Amino acid sequence: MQNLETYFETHPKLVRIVQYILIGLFVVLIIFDIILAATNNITISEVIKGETEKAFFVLTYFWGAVAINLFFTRKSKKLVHEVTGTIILFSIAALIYFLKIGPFLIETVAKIPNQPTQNEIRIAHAISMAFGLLIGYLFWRQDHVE
Amino acid sequence: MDYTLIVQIVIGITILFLILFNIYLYFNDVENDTVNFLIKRWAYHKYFFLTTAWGILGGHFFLGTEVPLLGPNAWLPVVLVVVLLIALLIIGLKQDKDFVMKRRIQLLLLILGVIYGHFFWSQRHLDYLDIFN
Repeated sequence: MQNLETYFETHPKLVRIVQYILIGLFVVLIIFDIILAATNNITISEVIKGETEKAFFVLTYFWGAVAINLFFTRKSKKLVHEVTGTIILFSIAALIYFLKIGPFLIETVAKIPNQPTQNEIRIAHAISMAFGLLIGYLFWRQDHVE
Repeated sequence: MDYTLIVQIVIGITILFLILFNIYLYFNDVENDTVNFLIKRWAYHKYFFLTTAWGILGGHFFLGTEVPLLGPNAWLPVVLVVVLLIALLIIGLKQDKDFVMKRRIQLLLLILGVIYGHFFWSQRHLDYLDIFN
């Protein structure tokens, strides 16, 4: 905490700018989504759901990895350097996308291959989320806060 | 008019912007200024509502039950999300300036968010009237 205090004393401007950009972005997205919903257009949620229904599953995987990166810190020693971890994260994402692991996962889980039920789709997503959490846990965690 | 393409482009640009911005922030002279670092810092001090929010998004986008537990009104789950997150924000703001959230509670907040998104704010909810008629 001491270091953080000193840090913010010496670098207040940039950090404040980043914070404003993030908050601004967030506010704009929410307003955009509300307008979409209120004017009976397709919303951000529906597009994301639509994209993952096309079964690429990359977004689902990233959800898990980002969840660990932001909210589950590392108290022990790093397994790999942060840059290496990020490269691993994105390489696996690229594999999931180009090898069409998503559709493959759905085909595997579904009893009738071309007609997965809602439950089977959910199970496939849950597997993808868990996988993202695992990769995040191994390779993409941040240091714990004192 | 079908806005799907526009929404896809907005999402794509947002994600791309965040990634590029973060790369710049990681490699510039200033330490600890990336988006990830800032959000982690917020979540581990007063703004742990962010953790639950991320969980809710996961349950909402990727999971979701078919039976609408909160009835036919589509706005009610959204209103409840806002109430829940504001409540968590208020609790957070009441903490001391030295408050650090425990990691296991952080995990619990994430899981509770996923559960909320899955059961109460599902995109797979069947039309209320179809189930009960």
